[in-house]
Amino acid sequence: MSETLALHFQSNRRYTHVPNNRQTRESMNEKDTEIIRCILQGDARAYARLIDRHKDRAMTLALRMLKNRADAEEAVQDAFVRAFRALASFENKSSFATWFYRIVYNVCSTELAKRPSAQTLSFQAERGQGEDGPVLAEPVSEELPPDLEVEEAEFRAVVGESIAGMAAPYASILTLFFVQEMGYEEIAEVMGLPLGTVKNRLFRARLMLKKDVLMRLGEGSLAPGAQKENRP
Amino acid sequence: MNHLTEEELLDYVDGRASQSAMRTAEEHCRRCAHCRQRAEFERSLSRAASVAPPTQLSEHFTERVMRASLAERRTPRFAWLLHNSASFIAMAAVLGILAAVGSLTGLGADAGPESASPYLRIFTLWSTASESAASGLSRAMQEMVKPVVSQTGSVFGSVFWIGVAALLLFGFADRLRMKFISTR
Repeated sequence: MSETLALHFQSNRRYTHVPNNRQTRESMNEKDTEIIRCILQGDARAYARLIDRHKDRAMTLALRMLKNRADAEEAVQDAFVRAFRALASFENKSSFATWFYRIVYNVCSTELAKRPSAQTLSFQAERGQGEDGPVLAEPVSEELPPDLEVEEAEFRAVVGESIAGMAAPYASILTLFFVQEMGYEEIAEVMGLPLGTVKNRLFRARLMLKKDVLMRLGEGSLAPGAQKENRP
Repeated sequence: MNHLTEEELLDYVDGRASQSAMRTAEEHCRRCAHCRQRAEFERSLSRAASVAPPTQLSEHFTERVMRASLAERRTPRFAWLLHNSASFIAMAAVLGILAAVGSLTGLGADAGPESASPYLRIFTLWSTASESAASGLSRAMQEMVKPVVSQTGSVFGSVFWIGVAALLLFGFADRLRMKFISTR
């Protein structure tokens, strides 16, 4: 039975980004390190386990950046092959996930750079223009409609569509933060951006997401492509 | 009452705020329905955004990546052969031509001076010319080379040309295989 999500949320589950996931991530890192050790000792077939552990989340990142299933799958495959080739140079300074998602991110960025200018315009923000400084104005907080009720599955779908419709720099940072459960430093490493830029961009992306979701819910329209003026 | 700023709210929801800031935000939310509602909405948004959408990777994705990765890994071994194939071919060609000429001219089949091969004639001329200086040495070389060439000429010719053909075929087949793997 689907859970109803009202704005006076009665859910018992508490969301906290950092502490809940730390243990899981540490255990994942240990497992990854163990598999990598096996591969480097000659058991190349163990790489299949590493692929199975990361392929879905890598695909999520690639899909949200490239907005095209075939391109995303090709990018993920390319990233895995590159990672395998460079595995001997992996130094355990960061987790395998951080190292690998940086490869995925770079492959996708290269693919985006090849696309016509209309599609890459939004990606210019990737270079960090105008994002290094502090957030200039405190945005006005959204007024939440008091009578809004929505089923959780439907709410998830709206949020998913909203992120999928965002420009690559924002969609990717939200994916790394929420789906890959990365902290600011890891995101900075993956995206090759200064920490301040990461914080600012993530903040902007979350505000944009909230605004877009509220508009979609407020209008009662779940159609993708609605409220495009809110996107960069 | 001052509401929580967006930054304070997100830090509170994420659990990133300092202990004192967390306490302040929690206390504020207890008294302020508006901020409590905003915090709950942010939590729901975060939970929903944390759910990875179904990616529907194509069937046998892992196997395909494994094949491509392992093929990449093998490349240096095959590349070594391919990179050296020019030297192998050149060496084999020179030896093969020498051996084939030797076998076709029947070097050593008849010991008589009339039917001797060009090799033998050259050796004979050379040895005659240098007889006064180093007759002993040239005769020894002539004696050493003549039976070897005559007995193994045809065998060498066949072996080397088969080797050349096999090497070319091997290189071609490997390139085809790599192309096949990379396009799948």
